[in-house]
Amino acid sequence: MAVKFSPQTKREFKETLSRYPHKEAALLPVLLLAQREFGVLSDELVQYVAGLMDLPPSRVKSVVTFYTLFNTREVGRYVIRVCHTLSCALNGTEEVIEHIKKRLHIEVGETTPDKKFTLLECECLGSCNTAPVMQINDRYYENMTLELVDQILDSLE
Amino acid sequence: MEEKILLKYIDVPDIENIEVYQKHDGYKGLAKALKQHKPDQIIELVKASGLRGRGGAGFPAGLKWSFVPKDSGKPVFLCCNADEGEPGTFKDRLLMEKNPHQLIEGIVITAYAVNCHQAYIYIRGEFSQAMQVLEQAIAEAYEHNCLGKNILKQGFNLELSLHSGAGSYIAGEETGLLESLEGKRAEPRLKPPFPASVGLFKGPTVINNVETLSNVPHIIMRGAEWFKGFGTEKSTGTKLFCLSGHINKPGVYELPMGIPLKELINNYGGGIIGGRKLKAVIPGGSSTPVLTAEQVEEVAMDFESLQAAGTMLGSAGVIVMDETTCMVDALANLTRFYAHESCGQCTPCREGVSWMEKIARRIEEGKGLEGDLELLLDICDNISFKTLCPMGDAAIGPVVSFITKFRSEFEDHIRQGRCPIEKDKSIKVRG
Amino acid sequence: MANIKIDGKELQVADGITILEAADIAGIEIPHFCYHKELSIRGSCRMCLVEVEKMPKLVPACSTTIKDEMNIFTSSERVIKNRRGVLEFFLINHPLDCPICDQAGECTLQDYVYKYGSAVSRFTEEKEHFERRKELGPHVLHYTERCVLCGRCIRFCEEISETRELARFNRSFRSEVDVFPGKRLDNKLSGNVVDLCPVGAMVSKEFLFKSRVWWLTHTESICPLCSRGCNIEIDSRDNKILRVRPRPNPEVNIQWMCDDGRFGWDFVQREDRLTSPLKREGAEMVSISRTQAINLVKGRLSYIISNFGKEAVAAIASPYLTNEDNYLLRILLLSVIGSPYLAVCQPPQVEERMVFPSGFTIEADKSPNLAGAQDVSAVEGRELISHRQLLQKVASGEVRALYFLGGAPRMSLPVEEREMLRKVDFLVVHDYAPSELTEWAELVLPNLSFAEREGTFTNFQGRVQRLRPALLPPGEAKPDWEILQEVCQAMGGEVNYPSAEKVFEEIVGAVPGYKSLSYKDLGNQGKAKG
Repeated sequence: MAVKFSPQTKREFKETLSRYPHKEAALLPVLLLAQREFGVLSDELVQYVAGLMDLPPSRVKSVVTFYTLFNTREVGRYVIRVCHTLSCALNGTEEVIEHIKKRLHIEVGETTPDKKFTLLECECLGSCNTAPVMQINDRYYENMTLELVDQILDSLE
Repeated sequence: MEEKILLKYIDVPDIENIEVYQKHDGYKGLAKALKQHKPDQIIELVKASGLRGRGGAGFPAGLKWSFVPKDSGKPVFLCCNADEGEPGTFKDRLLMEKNPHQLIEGIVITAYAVNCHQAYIYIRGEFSQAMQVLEQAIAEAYEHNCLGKNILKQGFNLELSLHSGAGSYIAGEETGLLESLEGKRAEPRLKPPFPASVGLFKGPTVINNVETLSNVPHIIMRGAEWFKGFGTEKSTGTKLFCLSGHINKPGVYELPMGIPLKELINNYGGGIIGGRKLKAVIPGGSSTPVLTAEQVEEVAMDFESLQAAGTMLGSAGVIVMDETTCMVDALANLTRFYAHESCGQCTPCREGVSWMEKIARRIEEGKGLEGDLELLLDICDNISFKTLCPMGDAAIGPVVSFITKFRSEFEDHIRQGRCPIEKDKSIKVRG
Repeated sequence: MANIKIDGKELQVADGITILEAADIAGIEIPHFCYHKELSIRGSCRMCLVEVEKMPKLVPACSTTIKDEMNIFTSSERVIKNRRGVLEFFLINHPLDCPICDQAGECTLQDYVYKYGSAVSRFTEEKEHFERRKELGPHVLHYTERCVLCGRCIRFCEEISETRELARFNRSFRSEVDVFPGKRLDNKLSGNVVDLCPVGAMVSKEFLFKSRVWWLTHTESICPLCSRGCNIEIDSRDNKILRVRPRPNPEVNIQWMCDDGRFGWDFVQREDRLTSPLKREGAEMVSISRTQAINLVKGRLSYIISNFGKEAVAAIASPYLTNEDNYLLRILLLSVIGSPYLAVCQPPQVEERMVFPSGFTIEADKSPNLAGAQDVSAVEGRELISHRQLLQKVASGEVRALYFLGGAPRMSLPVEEREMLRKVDFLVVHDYAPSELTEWAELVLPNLSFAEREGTFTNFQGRVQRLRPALLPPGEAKPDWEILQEVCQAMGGEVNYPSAEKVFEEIVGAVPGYKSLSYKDLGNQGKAKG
């Protein structure tokens, strides 16, 4: 089955292109669009986007593998990114990470067998005043405590 | 207390709504700029105000704008650097989420000053909340003739678009930002040429930080002299200071430049959690050399004072560390950050920073060797001022300063083969 | 013009050049990895940093433009320390596998570490590991851990071949060069990235583990596989070619050659190379001696001439052989025998000309010397008879003896031509291995491949370039011009050239456009015809 954008994504794609004088410049927003629809930027999807953007697939994959928000491997429905840079580290982020690992029975970088959660560590999320901070998909979860972590994970379908 | 400039209306409900914003002096600065000033006059006004870049480099804003050639024949671009990624910094996020129109107004005035008709806000991909708020605000601004064609019927056109990053600290370096905005890896460019002459899509480009641009409407409204009334002679205006780490009241504090650091920490930050002893403070984001507790007592928060103390104001991301902090662990943490964020283009940064992380981690684990500290310092010397972009120098900032100022702690780790400090990794609940 | 000082040497140079270019003019080496003359500037390896008076930081020589009164130091203490530092950085994650790396002996990293680096490593951590060896394309392998990320290979694919197969993937210390899965590095210029790679990261499959480079003999020659005549270096050992690489020639091939040429020399080493003259006896080809062969030619040609006239003898010159070879054929036919029927074989059109956006071309004419063969076979600037017309004369029976020079790496005669050849009473052929020509010939004289001969080719631009022999001829194979000289002598001609160079001197005097050329003049870069 050949991968391609839904009509909705196609529309957003066209709108995104119109913001730039050169097509190439829209690559990052377009890749984010693609990821929003398909979850992971597989080689097949990368090749499809490359075709739409008139770019060689090697170039597109080169960009994809540079930025940390692009998923190149299968991820769960919820990607948990826990910040472990200094301010969060000073405020107990290590405990948060250990807690999530124990609760989900996975190591950092892994996905739960039911494909619900992926646990990743990330660098400074720019919210150091509410440390420890984690990001799940698009949302920030701040001022984490172990209880809050449990509540949040429980609340996610 | 002190008058605020940027956070004056931060608590007004719905200030992100353009109609509320307009009721609170909103877009009056823009109207004044377009109606009463020529572009050159705006540049002179901002120069006179002494406004310096708030992203970290502290370069005089008006001077930067004056470098844009008037006759290049190529379209001029303005990029707002909203790729806030310097550890310890979170002020731009606040400005964008809570008062987006202030930023937009600043962007339009700046664009007018440099004859730019296409501007972008490069915002880090993780800030989805801020992106939503900004998209909404931009749409409102277009509807209310504050963006687009014939702005406020004064004949000036400006298109403004939001551009999302995708997770890269080095995209916050100005030429890394340009590369990323052009759809490539955020690999910084050689300078010269400088962005003011060859920037986005090879056209003259101005890149300014969110906080810098947010100051502009106020300077236009109230004048250069008024702005110089805040702060010190060479560091005028107010600054958004970011307090984080082992502090009771972390957050963003808008205070005049030059406020003593101990006042910031104790009077505004509420002092150290649990009443513990202060050990070290990073004053301006992780790239700036660390200050010991003694130095914290003496130093003021402005560009000159911190430079005289051997460090920098940077982004004013103040990270407070108390006596439970293991400086070796903190260093391993920061070197890991830089090693992870290096773009990988140039040899010293790509290889050297990751090497430093490995050594720091090894020392932290108790496997340090005699000579490790000299080795680290020599690696720093081989990186210092030799990399393609300032990231190399940023990475060595913590290494050199931590080893120099906390040497005995490092030596203890090496000699004892373990960390001698009781680290506190408990999680604090913020009220 | 600007007046600058570099290491104390005063120099006047053109405005706008870089410090690296100025140092080159001054004869001073500034070590570098990522810089390459034919590619865009990156300034990322940081190896070329030099000190400039009044500039606080060291600056990259490859990208810093000189200014009037600039005072440059390429070997100050700071510069020396930086070089040592950069080399140390390159080595910390390097596999240090010189003993099994093809590049050893011609490796920039080795050479620089020896000259500018430290003898001792201070690195005691675990190295970063990557996929050891990747097959990037039909000819190129990539040893990831040896890569210094200079990016030359990537820039080549972007700027010269414009095929863009290669890119950097991942970031920071996990950066690596690779292709997109399924999109191999298979453009026709792919072999050039092996030359460009300063270390043993990009290696050629064909040369893998074949030999240490210091055992190789290097011979300067010209590629015989199309009319561009790329300047090449034949690397051989024990009388076998092990690899062929391009030589720089800004007028012809810049620094490049195509994969067809680079990897297409194996015809030289065919097992069925002809090593002695062969005479047809029924269905068999039988070995005979040189003397017997020459006598046979003399006998058969004389018979045909006396019974049917001089014009019953014709000859076809070869665009695959040198000017010297074809010139002797002309002497034989026009002067010694006196027949006007000398044509030049038209190489078949099997491919389109391939033009790369950067300007490099692979010519459609797959013979190296059509222009030269035509020049030396023409009378008063015009060809005597076309290939087509000559073969028609053969078909009609007018021509009964045909002297056909072969030597094509891959002969492909159209069917009608092959049929026509059957009609000839006496077909004598020069070739290096069994071919469509030898199939019908009554007599086959073994000749040399390009790799065994001295001589000249004239390329499609009209540039005359020299070949030099890299290998000894197999068996009794001889240069064509020598064979033809013997035939001339047997037929009563007074022809006595002691060397190919002397033949060339004759060409210079006799053929318009070749005036004032000489072997010495041609050197190793060749020279355009007048």
